[in-house]
Amino acid sequence: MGKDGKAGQTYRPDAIALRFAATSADVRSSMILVRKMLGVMELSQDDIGRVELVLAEALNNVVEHACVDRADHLVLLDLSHESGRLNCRICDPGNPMPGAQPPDGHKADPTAALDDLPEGGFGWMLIRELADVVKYQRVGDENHLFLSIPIASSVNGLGPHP
Amino acid sequence: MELVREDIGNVAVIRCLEERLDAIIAVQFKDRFRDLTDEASQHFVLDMSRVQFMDSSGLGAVVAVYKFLGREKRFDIAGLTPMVERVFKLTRMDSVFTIYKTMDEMLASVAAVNDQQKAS
Repeated sequence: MGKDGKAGQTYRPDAIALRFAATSADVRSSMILVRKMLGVMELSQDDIGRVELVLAEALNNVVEHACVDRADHLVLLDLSHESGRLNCRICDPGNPMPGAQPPDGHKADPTAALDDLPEGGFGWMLIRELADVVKYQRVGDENHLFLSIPIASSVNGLGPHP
Repeated sequence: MELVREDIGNVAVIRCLEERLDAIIAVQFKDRFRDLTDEASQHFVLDMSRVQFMDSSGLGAVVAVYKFLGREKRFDIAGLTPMVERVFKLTRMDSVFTIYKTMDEMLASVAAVNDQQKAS
């Protein structure tokens, strides 16, 4: 049952757990599923968009760096909704992050000459712009990344616990 | 990868018909875009009004085609959905491109420039 267990109320989940292969194709289909589930959680379209972007960037990094060429690796994605936040945990059995910490992400220089414009490296910058908590831990042979994204309250005003 | 070209006057409009411009199709996007370009056309506009989601790989692909066209040709972007606009803004790449909110706005702007040229 959701947080407000009144009779006759529609069931509204407040957590999602997904497990999928460390491939771009699985990341994409998971994102489409997450988008639907966040809609069921009654997040606004604006919030869904921000969460989707953060998760897509973090998961792309898992596929392209930590688990590169390891389609047999499984990624675990846990999402939970509490008042004003969406908390995300991503676990993968891939290579550790260089320096054992998540990159800062740099802002692109839009005044750069045409040939010097960056074609990549925006991912961590976007994650850090949208998630206000970013924690990384190597646990045994796994990467655990925790991200927390501030969101507006739900469309129907899912408030804090009474 | 659905990318189609439609010429409107002197403008080569490249329409991205994909809903997601993400890591999985970023390379195909670059290749297909290059296939749709030619020496003669001087002005390209990427119509993104159908794109609901773009990640940093998608943005990188857009920057790549802009660089591919080079200084000699004009490259603009039209029709940003809110999600796509957010990525341009947060990365500050919105200041690199001329971006028209809608295709209609882009066409009106081109028509105005053509009228000015005819008058002078």
